[in-house]
Amino acid sequence: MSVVDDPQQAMALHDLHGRQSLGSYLRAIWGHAGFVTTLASAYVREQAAGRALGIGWLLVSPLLLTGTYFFIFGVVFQVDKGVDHFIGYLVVGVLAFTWIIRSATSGAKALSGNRPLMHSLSFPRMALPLATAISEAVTFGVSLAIAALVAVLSGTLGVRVLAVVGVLAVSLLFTAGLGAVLSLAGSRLLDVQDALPYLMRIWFYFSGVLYPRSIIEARAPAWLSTILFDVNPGATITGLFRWCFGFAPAGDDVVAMFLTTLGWAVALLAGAVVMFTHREVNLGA
Amino acid sequence: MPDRDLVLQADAVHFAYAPVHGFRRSPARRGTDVLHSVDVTLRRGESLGIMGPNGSGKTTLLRVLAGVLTPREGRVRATHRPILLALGPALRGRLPVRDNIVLGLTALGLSRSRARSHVDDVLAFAELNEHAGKQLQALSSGMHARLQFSIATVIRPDILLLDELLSVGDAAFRRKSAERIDALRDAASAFVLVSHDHAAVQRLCDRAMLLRAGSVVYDGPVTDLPEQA
Repeated sequence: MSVVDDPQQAMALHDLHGRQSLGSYLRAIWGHAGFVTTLASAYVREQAAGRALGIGWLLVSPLLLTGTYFFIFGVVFQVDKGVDHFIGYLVVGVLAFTWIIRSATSGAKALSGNRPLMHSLSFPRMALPLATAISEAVTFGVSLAIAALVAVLSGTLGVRVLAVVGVLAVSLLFTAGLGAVLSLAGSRLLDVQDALPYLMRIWFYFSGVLYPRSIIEARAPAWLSTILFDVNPGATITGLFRWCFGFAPAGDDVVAMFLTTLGWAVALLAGAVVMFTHREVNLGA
Repeated sequence: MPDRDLVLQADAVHFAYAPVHGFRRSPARRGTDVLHSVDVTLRRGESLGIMGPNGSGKTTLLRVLAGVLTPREGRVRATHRPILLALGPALRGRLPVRDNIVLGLTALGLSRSRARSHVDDVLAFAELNEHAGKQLQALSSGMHARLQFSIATVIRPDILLLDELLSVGDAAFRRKSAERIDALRDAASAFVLVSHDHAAVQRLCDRAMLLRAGSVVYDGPVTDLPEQA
């Protein structure tokens, strides 16, 4: 990889540890797209390697999780009021939010867990959280087979399922940005990695994954439900996937949810790129 | 008047491995100094051998020159980004050998399609054709080293940095790997080798640097390198 792009200046000496411009950093990431996708693929296959069920765990694990939540919140606490297909509502919500949690927690370790690699090879460090985000998206994509099966059994699967590709893409931008920001925090302060599972669990419980919006609206002021369901990207992402599989409650504004998710995604990803251009040189010490 | 033959210059480089705690570095958290005011100058066509006892800072200096470690003080400038041929941490034990070749080559900056096109050549050079589908962790340490060498030496960097990649495999493999190193060195504008092997440095380099406790104690013609280096 050349330090300079202009052959006329190829003989000039350039500072190896100088801060890169935004444009050159983005070009460097693009130049390592092959590494990002290959590493992401390696992460996915490592999850299956050495296990009797192999890639089947990508389906069994979320199935067990949603089964447990359905028993507790659907059967024991009966919070399914106002939702036509509560099993589908729960399954898709749990799958989507579990993806967000996994992307955040593995993103936080993406730099600190690869220190030997960063001390050996020169590549844009943002490649590491990006690879983690893509691998988690692939895992989530496989687990969506469960959502499709529940939608078929519930009779809700329709043409809108095709929109899942776009929703997955914009949600991936969000999880990539979130993971990249957390990777920087986690590389500097290991406490972030310790605190994150608890913070994510709190976020999970406040994002309407296990109960419908009507439960909050009946007990809390309107502004709180607006924050929890209209501004909170955890709620808009789960809401979008529910809409794709026909499990969205009546009255959900899918366009507003998409735009909110897109806004968060762009803000986080742009913020992450800017932070990496500032912090990149300090990641190697 | 700028020296037009200069391809790499490190000025007064200090380095310390910083502890990974807290958002800010305080003097109490500076870490242990590994390099003290090290200067390195490389001109076109030069090959430099860096020697010194364990813990003298050789590998750290190589990583600073590669741009993967950032000096606490001083600066490193180069005409092209130097490439350090060190692949170990990039490879994944639970993946097949074939996939590790693609991973290693993309980590060195090749596109995925170009990396795939080199897989058979790498397997042949490493003499691991029949192990292509095995997990990397199933290989012996010797096979592992041969694979790393064969992957790392696919690329042709302008400024080449090597860290003890020479004593790999049996006598026959060492012969052909030495030929490949010669070819890499000849193709590069400048070449830096870190090694404990006095004979290898004498054979491959025209200049030598001796480090002790992070400081340069000798920098000159390889023929005048002190015997105790």
